[in-house]
Amino acid sequence: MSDPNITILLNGREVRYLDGLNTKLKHGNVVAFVPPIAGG
Amino acid sequence: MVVGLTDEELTRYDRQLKVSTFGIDKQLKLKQASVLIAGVGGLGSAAAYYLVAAGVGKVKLVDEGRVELSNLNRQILYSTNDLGRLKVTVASRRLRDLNPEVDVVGISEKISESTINGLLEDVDLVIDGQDNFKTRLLINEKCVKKKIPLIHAAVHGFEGRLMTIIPYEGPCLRCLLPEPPPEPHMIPVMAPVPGIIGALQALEAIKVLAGVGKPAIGKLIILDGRKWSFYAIDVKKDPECPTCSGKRIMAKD
Repeated sequence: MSDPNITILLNGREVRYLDGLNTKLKHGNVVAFVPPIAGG
Repeated sequence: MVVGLTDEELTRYDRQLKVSTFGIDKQLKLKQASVLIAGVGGLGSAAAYYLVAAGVGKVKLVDEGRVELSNLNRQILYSTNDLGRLKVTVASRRLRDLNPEVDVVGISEKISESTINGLLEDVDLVIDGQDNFKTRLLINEKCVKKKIPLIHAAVHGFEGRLMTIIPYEGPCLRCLLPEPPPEPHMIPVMAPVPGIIGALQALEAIKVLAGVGKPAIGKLIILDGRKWSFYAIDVKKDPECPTCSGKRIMAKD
């Protein structure tokens, strides 16, 4: 399980729409974690 | 009601009227529109400034705060002389000076479950300039319910985000934040970042209201000002979204 509010991207695509946390990584893939922010 | 542009307006908006795909018909759409600025802080200051400058017919400013010294690194509608004054009073005067053609209304009120419906009356679009998740999600929920476009944005440090929410057409804020996140305290903000993102909110609002260009529907725009990366990620509607999927409504029936 991961925090549902943290968007995890594999090469710019959300892993939610790939295989979630089971998404296989390949050499050279870029993984980004995008936590929510609230400042105004 | 017959709405036209005066000679003065034709001159005032001359440079944007000359933009291809924009023009008098689009300007008239702006003139007939009413926008709510939900929070006149860093984002709201910049967004309101450009929307008033661009000739949106009515701009309603909502904020219960007073001007504090620590606001002045980024909240561009206020000056050192304004410390202690109600933000909406100072902001309204400043914006009316900028463009007297615009009907600027300042409302010193906290946005809450009991005030939100009244604030959204006769509003065509909302600029989200809040500084906490709770109020952002409340505004999102009501905008979805009333089908009012919402230009969401948030900043933190060198970072800025933006997403244009057209209820039911694209994802809403709740699709992005399935569980309300814990509230942050004392958010650090690098001075120009809310200016950049607030200006982008105004641009999105103009596009949605006038019906030009391609707004960031289903796109989360992310600015990392520290290293100048500026990109968009695709956000999809959450089929289980308690706000916009309609599931909660069906469960009630």
